[in-house]
Amino acid sequence: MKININGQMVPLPEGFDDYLDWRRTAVVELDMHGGHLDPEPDCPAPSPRGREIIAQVNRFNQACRDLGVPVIHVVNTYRTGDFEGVESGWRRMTEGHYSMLPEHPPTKYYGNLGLENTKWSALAVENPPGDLVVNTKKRVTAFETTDLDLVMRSLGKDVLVITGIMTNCCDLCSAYYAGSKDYKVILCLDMTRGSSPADEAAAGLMVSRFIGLNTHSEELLREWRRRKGAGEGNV
Amino acid sequence: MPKTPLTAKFIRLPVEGGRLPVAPAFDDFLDIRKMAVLELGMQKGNLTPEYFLEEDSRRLIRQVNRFHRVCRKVGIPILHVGCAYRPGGLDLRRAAHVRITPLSGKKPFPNVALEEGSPLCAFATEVEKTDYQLLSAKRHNAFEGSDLEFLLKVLDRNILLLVGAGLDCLGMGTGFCGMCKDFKCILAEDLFLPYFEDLGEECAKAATLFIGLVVKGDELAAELQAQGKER
Repeated sequence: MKININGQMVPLPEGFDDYLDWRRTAVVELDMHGGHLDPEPDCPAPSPRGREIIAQVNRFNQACRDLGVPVIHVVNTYRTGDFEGVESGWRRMTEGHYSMLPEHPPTKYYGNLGLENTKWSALAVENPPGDLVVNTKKRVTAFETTDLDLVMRSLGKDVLVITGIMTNCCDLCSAYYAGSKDYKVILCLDMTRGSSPADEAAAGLMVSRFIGLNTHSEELLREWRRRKGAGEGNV
Repeated sequence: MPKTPLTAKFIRLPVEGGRLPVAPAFDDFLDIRKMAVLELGMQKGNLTPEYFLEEDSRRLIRQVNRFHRVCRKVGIPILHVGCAYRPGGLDLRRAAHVRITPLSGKKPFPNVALEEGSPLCAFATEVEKTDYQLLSAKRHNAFEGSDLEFLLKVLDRNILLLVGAGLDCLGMGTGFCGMCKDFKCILAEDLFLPYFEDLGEECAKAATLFIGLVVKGDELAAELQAQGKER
C-alpha cells in the first residue's frame, strides 16, 4: 500500500500491519450533514467542496460495509436556542474578525448549524441499518462531548479511518485528538474536503508527520481486500 | 478594546498585510486576570541540535524568557509544560507519533529520552518560584493524561497564551483541544517554533481559522504591559 509522505505517494514500509487490519478498524466520517452540505443559500456554514464528495463517500462507505468495517457518522447537533455553539472557536474567530470588515460573507445563519430536528443536522449521506451515529458533537473535535471513544472501545476498534469534512478543521482536530489517545489513525484524504486544496494538503502533511497514515481510499480498500482474500481473519 | 495597536493574522479574506486589528469582539480574550502562559516543549532534551538549529533554539529561549518576564510583572502565571516519562518505555509503548514521525525522516518529538530524573527534563527557560511546572504531559495534546485542565481550573484561568517548541505537534494538539474545551487561545506565532519548518505558516493559518487569535509576541507583550499598568 502507498502512503503520502511529503507530498509523494510512496510504499508503506514494513511494520504497520496493525494499521491495515480491517478487523480492528472503524470509519469515522465527520459532519456530512445538511448544515454544511445543503445547496440552499441559507445553508448555515456551507462547504461547497464538501458537496463534491457526497457520492464518493457513499461508495466508500458501502465498500467498507461490504468488508465488515463499521461506519460511524459523527454529526454536529445543537439544542435549540443557539447557546451551545456560540462559543465555538471557529465561530468566535470568524464573527469576531468579520466585525472589523465593512463587507464579508453572511454569518447570520451560523446559529442554525447542526440545529436539532432540522435538515441542518440531518445526514446528507446514506445511513443504512448497521451504521452508527454519534450526534452530540458540539465543537470541532469528534471526541469532546461525544461517546465516540466509548463506541470505539465497545466495538473493539483501535484503527480509526477519518473521512468527511473539513480536512483542515474537524478532521485535523479529531486526528490530533485521536493520535494523543493512541488510536492508529488513517486519513483517507480523497474522502475529505477542506477550505481549499492547499489547506487539505497541509492538513494531510500534519497528519502524516505526527499522527498517522495519509492515503487514498482506493489504496486502503485494495489493501484490505488483498489481506481478506489472503485469508487473514478467516479462522 | 485593545489598548495598543494589537493585530491578528487573518486569512479568510484578502486584507492588507494579512492582518486585522484585534476587534472589540475579542475583549474577553484580553483579560489578563484570566490568562495563563502555556509554555510547551521547552525542555533541554528537546532543544538540542538533533531537533532544532542551535541558533533557533537560543533565539527562542531568549524571546520566550523576555515574554515570560512581562507576563510575571502583570501577574500572569507561567505554566512550563513538559514530559517526564516513566523509565522503561511504558508511557510511550502505544504512542503513535513514535512510529509515525520517522516515516518523514525525523526523530519523534518530544525527545523519547525525557525520562523521570533525567537532566534532559529540565526546562531550558527561566523558571521562577511563582511559576508552575507540569511534567505529566505524555502526548502532543498536553491535556491528555495530564493534570493541566485541573491546574487551569484551580488557578481560575481560561485564556491560554501558547508559546514553545513544536508548534506543528504540541501547539496544534494542545491548541485544538484547548479551544474545544472552550479555553480562549492566543498563539504567539513567532514564539512557537515548528518542528518541521515548512509547517509553521500552515499551522498558523489553521490556528487563526479554528483555534484562536494568532498574534506577534512583541505586540502581545506590549498589550499585556499596557493592560497591567491600568490595574
